[in-house]
Amino acid sequence: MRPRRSFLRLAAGALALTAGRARAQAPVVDRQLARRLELWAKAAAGTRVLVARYALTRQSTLLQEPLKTAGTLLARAPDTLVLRDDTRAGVTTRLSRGRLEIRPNDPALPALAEAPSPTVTWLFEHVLALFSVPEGAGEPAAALQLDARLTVPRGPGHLLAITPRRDHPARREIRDLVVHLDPHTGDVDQLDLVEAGGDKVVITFSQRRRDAPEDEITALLQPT
Amino acid sequence: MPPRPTLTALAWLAVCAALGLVAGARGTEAQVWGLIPAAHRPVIEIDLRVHLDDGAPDEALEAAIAALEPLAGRCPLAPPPAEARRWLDAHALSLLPREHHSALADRLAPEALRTAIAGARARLASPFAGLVGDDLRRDPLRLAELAPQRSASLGFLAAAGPEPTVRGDLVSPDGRSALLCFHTGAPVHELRASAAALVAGHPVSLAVVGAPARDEAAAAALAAAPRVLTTLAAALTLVLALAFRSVRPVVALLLAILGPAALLAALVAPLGLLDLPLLALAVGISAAPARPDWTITALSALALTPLLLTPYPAWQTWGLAWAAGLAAAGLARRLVQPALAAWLGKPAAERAPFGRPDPPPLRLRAALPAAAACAVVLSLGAWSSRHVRFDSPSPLPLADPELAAAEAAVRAEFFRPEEVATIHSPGATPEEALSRAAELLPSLLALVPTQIDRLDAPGAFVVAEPELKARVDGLLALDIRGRLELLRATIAEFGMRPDAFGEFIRGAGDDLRDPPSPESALAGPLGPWLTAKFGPDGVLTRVYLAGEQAALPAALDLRGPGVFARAEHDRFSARAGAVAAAGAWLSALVVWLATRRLALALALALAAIVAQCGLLVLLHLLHRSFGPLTLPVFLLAGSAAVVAGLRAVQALAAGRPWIDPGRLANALGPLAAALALLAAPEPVWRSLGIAAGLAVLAAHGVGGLVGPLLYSLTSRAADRFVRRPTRDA
Repeated sequence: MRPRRSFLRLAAGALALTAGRARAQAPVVDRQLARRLELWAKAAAGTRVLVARYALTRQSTLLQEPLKTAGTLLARAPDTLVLRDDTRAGVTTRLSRGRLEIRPNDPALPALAEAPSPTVTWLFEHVLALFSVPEGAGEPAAALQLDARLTVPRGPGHLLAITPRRDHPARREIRDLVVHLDPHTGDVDQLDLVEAGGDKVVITFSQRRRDAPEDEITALLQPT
Repeated sequence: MPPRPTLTALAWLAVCAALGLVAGARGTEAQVWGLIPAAHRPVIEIDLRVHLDDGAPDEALEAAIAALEPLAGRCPLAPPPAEARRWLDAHALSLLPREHHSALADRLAPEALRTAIAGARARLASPFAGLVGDDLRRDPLRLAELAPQRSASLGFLAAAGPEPTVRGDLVSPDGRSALLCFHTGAPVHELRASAAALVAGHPVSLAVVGAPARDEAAAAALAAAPRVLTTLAAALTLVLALAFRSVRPVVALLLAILGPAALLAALVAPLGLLDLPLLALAVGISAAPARPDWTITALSALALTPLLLTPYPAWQTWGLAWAAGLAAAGLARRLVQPALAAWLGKPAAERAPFGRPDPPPLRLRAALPAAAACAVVLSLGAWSSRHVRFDSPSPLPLADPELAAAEAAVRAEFFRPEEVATIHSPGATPEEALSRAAELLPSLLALVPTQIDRLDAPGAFVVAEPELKARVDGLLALDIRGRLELLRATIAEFGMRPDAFGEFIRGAGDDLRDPPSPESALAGPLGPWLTAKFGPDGVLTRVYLAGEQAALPAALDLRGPGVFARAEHDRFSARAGAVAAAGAWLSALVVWLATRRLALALALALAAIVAQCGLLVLLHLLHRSFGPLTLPVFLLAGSAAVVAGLRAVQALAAGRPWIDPGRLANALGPLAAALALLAAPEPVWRSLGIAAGLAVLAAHGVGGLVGPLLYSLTSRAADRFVRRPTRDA
């Protein structure tokens, strides 16, 4: 009789402990997320223009080997994002509100220009918001939280996961956008884009400049 | 005075009771589709919306849908998605219309093919490449771009919008709701109860939409009918008591019109949603304090006869029933009311017979501004008829909050149930019917996206002979097999894996060997779905209409409330004009036959049109709508204006004052009916109540005040016209 009673007491105690931990866990996650956003905002807030180098790797079942490119990124608030690959084999991706253009750097190849789908718009707005939040734009994290759920994923490094909201069309095509933050400056070091189809795109950033001269920006904005 | 008033009164009451019993025995009906011709009645299906409770995990929806499996009569809202997509991919080349073959040849040219694959490979360097256009694996050459309507509108297979399940149910974009279709003879409440029992342990809520659900809600709305009729009786008693200042004449009048009201109810029974407001208005009009003479009885009885010219089934019934009911009311007021009054101890005063009233003396100072005001009202009315909000005959609004919320949710998440149209492709066998459905498809696709949102079209999966042979010959001439080999080599050359595109390459090769004929489609993975689409009328294609209100091509023979509503949207102004003209003509004929004064007939017909235009102006100013639902009230405005005008002319001829409160009291009956409707919960009744109230104001304002002035003008013009030959002589 006694062992059973002891066991029940133990079980009840464990249950209470688990419940208590679960109750206590929610604020911990919130605090973690708040700290992560605070870290990110340190770099992004007040940035109107950012020019950086990137290296992109796409892993896809379409490809015999992962595709690797490098290029220059321009993020300019409120509505411009340019990713210009260095080589002729690459592309230049230009996004503004209402227009997406993916133009191969080889002028002989066909370009794609169209009105962006809701999914493309979602990704564009969140990537742009990650890099530049101009002064006076209000709460910096608001743009990240738009149509998205922010979480802190497990794993090494200072990570922030941005997932499309459940009822947003982007949810069907984008599984996750994971942001790796520099632990000291809060800069975006790396983006992991996991597509619902299985492709994974990893972009790492370096040589960030917030004071790029106007002529360099103009050159990046020019067609290839 | 009748010789035996008691006997007459008792006989009358017995007749009233008998007619009431007949009407009661015939029961009630929903009549929510009363303005839609039988050919355009909606698809009889019940859509069950399953919605996850807040906080419930997404996976719970699938479990709830699985729990509903035992329910009988499930019908798919979409083809099985995996099979349908696979079929479309496998036959992408032969499903492409021949007019695109030259563009296809351009895309398959060796250099173009190389450029396309090199471009696709280069685009993969963009992080956005995987989110743009169709899946590269399924369509590396972007052939879907050649026929964009097909890929964007077919079933629920497009990337955006609800997602079909394996069973053909739909899941909302947020994954929190599902829509299941049932084609069953069971009543809606039974289906709801059975479904609720099956998902009792699941964190979901259920709601039902569709034509049977609307029928049930409309039938339930008639529970408020006794309240409306009681309010009407009370309001009439009040206004008649004010007019007569005595109880017994009021009782006599009300008892006299009880029989015609019961007759009307028996004629239109089973009583429906649209019947009650007209019944109330008939009672209100019959209860005018002034006893009607034969002319006014004829005018009132013929008021809605022009509705026989309209295609609205409920109003067609009323075109005849109203005439019978109001004629009976006139008879009862003339013959039975005196007997009832005598029985109650207060004989009715005799009325002077209606003569040939002379026109009132012409006062140009009043008549000319009145004529100018009429011209202004006519112009404004004509303008308003083009700008007043169109009151669509479908869907009629219903007060049931649960149904309204469910319909709004289904509209937001899935589709607009009232905008589902159907088209049958006849055929003795499924193969023959499918061939016809396939031949029909290009005409339907031509209406995407302006007039059609989506198509649930079995014909989209097959190509009929001889078109099929022509397409295959056309494709063979393009050396498709050779180009596919080249495509495979090019893919490998650019560092991509040809196997990743295997589905496309294999499908394109097999497509030419086994093209999508009706026979092969019926024998293939879509066979069960295609066979289920075949019925006695042939193969059924469902068409989800777009928001644009323009009429659909009549040659397509599309059926559905939305199709009829669009056609009415375009032609309703002309229809209302024709109906108003017919009403004015009938009124003028009656007045002329009764008085032999053409000038009076013309003046009152003009007054009728002015009153109707005034009603249109008021409806537009008050942001109300005008359409098939309000058409009877529109006609009643004209008829009431003629009656008011005639009474005013008669009064003036008898030396009574122009503005007479006693005469204006005749407007109180219909006003009481309008108020009773306004107090009702149903939006249809309230709309008709407001329109009727405005119609009474317009009719009595124009008819009673302006009618005599118009008569002065028309009679003076007639005099000149008659005198001129004499002068010439």
